[in-house]
Amino acid sequence: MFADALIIMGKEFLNLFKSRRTLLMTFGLPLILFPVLFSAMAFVQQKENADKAGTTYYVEFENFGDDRFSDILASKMAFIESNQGVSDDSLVIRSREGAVEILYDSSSSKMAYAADKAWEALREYNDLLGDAVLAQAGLNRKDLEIFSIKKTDTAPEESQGGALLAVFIPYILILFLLIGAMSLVLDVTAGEKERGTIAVLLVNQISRTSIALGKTFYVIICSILNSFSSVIGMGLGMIILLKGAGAGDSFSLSLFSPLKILQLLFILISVSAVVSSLMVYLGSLAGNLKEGGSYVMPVYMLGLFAVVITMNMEAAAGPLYYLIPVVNGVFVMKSLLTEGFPPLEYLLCLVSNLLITALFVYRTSRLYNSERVLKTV
Amino acid sequence: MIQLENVYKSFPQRKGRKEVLKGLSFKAAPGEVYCLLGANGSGKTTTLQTIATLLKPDSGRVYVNEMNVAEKGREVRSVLGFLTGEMRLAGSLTGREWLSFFGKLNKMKPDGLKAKISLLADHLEMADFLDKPVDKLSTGMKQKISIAISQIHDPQVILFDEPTSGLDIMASRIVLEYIKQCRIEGKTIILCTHIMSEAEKLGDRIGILIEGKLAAEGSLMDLLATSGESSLEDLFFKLSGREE
Repeated sequence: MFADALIIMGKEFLNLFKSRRTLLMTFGLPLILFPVLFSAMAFVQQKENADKAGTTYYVEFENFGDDRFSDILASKMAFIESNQGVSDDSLVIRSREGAVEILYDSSSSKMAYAADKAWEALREYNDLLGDAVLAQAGLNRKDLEIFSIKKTDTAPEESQGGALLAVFIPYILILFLLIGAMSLVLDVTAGEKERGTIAVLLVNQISRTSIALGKTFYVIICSILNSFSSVIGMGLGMIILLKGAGAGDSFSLSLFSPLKILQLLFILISVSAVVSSLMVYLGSLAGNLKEGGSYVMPVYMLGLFAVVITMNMEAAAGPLYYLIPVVNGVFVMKSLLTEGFPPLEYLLCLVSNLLITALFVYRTSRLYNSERVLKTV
Repeated sequence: MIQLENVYKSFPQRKGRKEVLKGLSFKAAPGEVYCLLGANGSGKTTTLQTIATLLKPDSGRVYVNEMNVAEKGREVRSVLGFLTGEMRLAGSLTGREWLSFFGKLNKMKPDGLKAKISLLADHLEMADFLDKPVDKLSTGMKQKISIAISQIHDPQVILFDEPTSGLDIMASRIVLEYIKQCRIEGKTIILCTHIMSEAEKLGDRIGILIEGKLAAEGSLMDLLATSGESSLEDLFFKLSGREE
């Protein structure tokens, strides 16, 4: 039965690999898209920052009794004193009853930048005045610090930053797994019916369960590959983005030991198996591609919803959460990236996903063994 | 040998069921081309799909080489070649790759498969386009590949649904010659068509299907003699109640 399923899967892969456009869109695009997108973002950001820093702004402000504020402000940004009020190229700094207010138009990103710089200049000027008052009393700023405060991260070095990764790695992996499954499943199920090849496929010596299995294997493998290429692409993009922002050293892959990657892979396979087998079943129920799209889309939306609501949640405490497909995958991945290997939860997740997959494959196999799969009338 | 005994088949509708086959019975023997003539919706495709184990009859029995299709589906499929009229090959695979795929599904050995592909390419004159992606082929070329797919495992029983659909005159002749060759080889052939000239040329016996029932059956000579009509077309219109 599995040998026959491999023939079905092999044909689908051959068709995929021979279609350069589909191959590029499915696996190549995420690899290229994210680095290109993030490079463009970094470039635009740098250009915009340089542009903001190089602009001369109009600033209306009162002298605070000397020229020191004006000098500090000049060290922060180029400006011309004016009295034209608030506009898209000028801001106002006014003082009333001991409170200084910056008035600016936030619809202009340049003026938001200028307001930030004015804020920094005011803070610095305030500190300067404060230091003078303290000096008169024979004190300095250090004298006001009763005790020092320090925050120490006790997580192992390789786990530091895991919390951030735990938020977006499961999200990206499962999001692209859903996209990958959805983009390919319709062609091999509802598309087969629309092209009329399903009947010829069914009039053969192999069991119809093998046909269902072959199609499910194909979608599982493709969705995982799509998911991985997206994560790799996004990782490359992040490195480019962080390097552009001068924070390239803060990106470390030391969290991903070979064992951890293997543990993540098994979870990803099990989640993909559930999603793909359900999509293959729904796609096989549909009579044509359009109908198939409307059947499969809710699975995508549900999966997306599950990932989004669990994105900022801590790994769940109760075992019941680990029986819910997709949600269990997110939680186990979070645990793997932050707390380490959770044996019971890991097992529950795998067993639950595999049992649900078996149920969907069984239903698909029943469908292929019935005449409903033809949808002739 | 194909034998249908009092076959009924209906499909669910919003209100009740639609009866498509209403007590259909006929036989097709080895070395015989049995032409099933009928208008759209008369039940031709349903008949073929029932013989091909894709549909289960509500009642009645269907035998292929004396095997009941309801009981021995897989064995029946091993001797069947089925060309559906709805098949539209698409994608990046070449004709050779499609044939190879279906050969493997039919458990053919690599050497036998290679030889059979060459033979079919020769008979159906496909050598020029067999290694091109099917997406780049004309409708007629795709139809020839679809016919070859149904024949790859050298089936003893052949079900053809509109085999010359989309073919030009030259290609149609090649396909009709191929069907004649299959008859000489002793295969049992059911040919569904609405082209009267094809039925007249090829049909050893002709069954006229009207609304799921066999309205007339026999050789062309017998049908014309008993009905008193001068052509199959006239007889068909008379039986379908559209005689002017």
